[in-house]
Formats: sequence, structure tokens, C-alpha cells
Amino acid sequence: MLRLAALLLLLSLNQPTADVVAQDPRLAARLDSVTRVQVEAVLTAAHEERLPLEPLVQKALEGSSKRASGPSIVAAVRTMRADLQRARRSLGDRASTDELVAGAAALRAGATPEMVGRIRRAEPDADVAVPLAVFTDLVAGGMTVDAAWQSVSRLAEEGGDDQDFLDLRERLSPRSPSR
Amino acid sequence: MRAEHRKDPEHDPVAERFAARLRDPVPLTDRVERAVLRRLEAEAAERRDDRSRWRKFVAAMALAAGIAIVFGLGVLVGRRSAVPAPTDAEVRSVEFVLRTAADSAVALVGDFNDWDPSATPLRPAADSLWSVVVPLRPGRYRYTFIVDGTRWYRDPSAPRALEDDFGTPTSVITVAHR
Repeated sequence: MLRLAALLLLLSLNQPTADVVAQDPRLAARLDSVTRVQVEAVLTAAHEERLPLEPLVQKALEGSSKRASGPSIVAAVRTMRADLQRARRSLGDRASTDELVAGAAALRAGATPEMVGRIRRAEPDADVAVPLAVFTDLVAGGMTVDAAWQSVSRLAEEGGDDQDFLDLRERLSPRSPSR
Repeated sequence: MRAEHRKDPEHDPVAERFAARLRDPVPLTDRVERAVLRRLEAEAAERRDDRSRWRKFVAAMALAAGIAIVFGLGVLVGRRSAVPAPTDAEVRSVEFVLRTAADSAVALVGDFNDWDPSATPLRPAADSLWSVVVPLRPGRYRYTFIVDGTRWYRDPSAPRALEDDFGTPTSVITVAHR
């Protein structure tokens, strides 16, 4: 009997079920029922793809806070899921949540999947979230995609650490201090 | 007489004699008696084992269910807040500052507080400066300020977020690993 109990315990600890994933209390509290059901469907699909769910939940909560319409919220969450999928294809299955979020933002800023993949290959054992985030910030600050890419990729190939990338951003975007 | 053949069958003296013989105890040998007792004891022990096994099964199921419920609640409770625990060694204290002529309140909303306008109010300081310190783990966060509950301002000292899906100004902060 104790073996049975241990087996049940292991099964319960393994992974949250799709139902548990979908029933995030924050969504239930902040979204109308129609929007919530549609967002939960996206979350369930993302869970099955082993994508991080928290960025998707935050996107829905952002839309709720900004009083966006239900369809806008659902569309934004779906777009975020697609961005995360593309980021993972470029960064690999072992990419962390931070890397996927930064990669998704870089792709939306104009980086190609090849560019994102090259950052990974330049620093295969390092966390590349900050280099990708700095690339996105430089583009948001007005640099062209190519110029921002050259600056970031050069530093990545030189083995720069996170602080080096933040310093690079500060040099190139004086109004964007590092934290 | 035909009436004599219609006696009450429950009081037939012949049948009563047979019944009395059948009610007499049957003498058993010691060997048979011991065998019967052994069999009865064995059956009683089997029933006790069955009851014990069932009780263990119910207890195990209750234990597993209890653990699963506690774990499930833990998952749900743990998902309620995205604000990092302050005991995490990687957490950094980040100060957010906004200079604005707010009448009543300035709030900070972002990926770190579930975009909850009531979660992180800024405190007023001199010269229309409002500020708040937030513990953040390494990562990339999108955020913005809400002034007087209605006006949205991005942080002028931080990079602008390009992926603005909802048409309001949003900033981004990247917290690096130490």
C-alpha cells in the first residue's frame, strides 16, 4: 500500500495537469469568462509545448490592467506564444525562460532567427538573455537592426559578460541607464 | 375417516420423533473437533487480514490524496504572485523614480507585480518626485506608471518596450545576474 501511495505522490508531483495550468486564479479574477476561456486554451497549448506560461499570464494581466478588449488580450497572448515558439526554435530546447522572453522580444524588434541562433552559438554555455535584451533596447532607442546587431554580436564573440552588455547599452543609449 | 388423514402436519408425532433424533448432538471424535476448530480459526484470521488490508488501503489513499491536495494548493498559492521572494540571493533592489505633478497617487505596474495598480504605490518626495524600491530577480520586465489612476506614463529613464500590444507607453528593465 505504501508503494501505491508513493506512486500516487510521484504522479501528483510530476507536472501540473492541463486543468491546473488553465485555472490560474489571477486570470479568473481579472478576465471576463469568455476571454478567460480563450486565454486558458492558449495556456494549455503552451503547456503541452513546454513553453513558459508566466510571460503569457503577464501579457493577459497587462491587457486587463490597461482595460484592453477581450479580443485584443487574446490576440496579444497568442502572439506572445508564437514569439516564444520562434525564440525556442532559435535558442534550443534548453533555453531558460529569461532567454526565451528576451529572444521573443529581439525577434519582434527585427532580429532574424539566424541572428538569435548565432548569439546562442557564440555563447553556448552562457545565459544570453541580457545580450538579446540589450539588442532590443538599442533598436528601441533608435539604432538600426544591423547596427545594433553588429555591436552586440561583436561583444558576444569577445566573451563579454552581462555587465559588459549593459555598459554597451549605456554607451550607445545615454538615456537608458543600467540597473 | 378422511378427517384423521387431515391431521395438523406440524404436530405429527412421527415427524416429531424424527426431529428429536436429528436434534440430538452428533458425537465427534477429538480429531474431527480439532480440525473443525482449526478451520474456524483460520477463517477468522483471514477475515481479520482482509479488514486490516482494506484499512491500510484506505489510509494510503487518504495520505496520497492529502499530499496531492496540499501540493495542488501550493501550486495555486505559489502562482498568485510574481513578486520574487526577498530571500533569494539573486534579488536586487531596484528604485523606480518618476517626476510628475500627480494630484493624489502614482502606481507602478509591470510583469513583476501582475500589473496590479494597487500592488506597488510610489511615495512622494520633494519636487514632484515619486519613488519606490522593488526587489527583482534577474530578468527582463515590462512596466509603466499610472498617475492619478488614469494617466499612463512610461519611464523616461528606461528603454521603451517595442512590443506594446495595447497602445499605451511601456518601458523595459533588464536586471542582470550578479
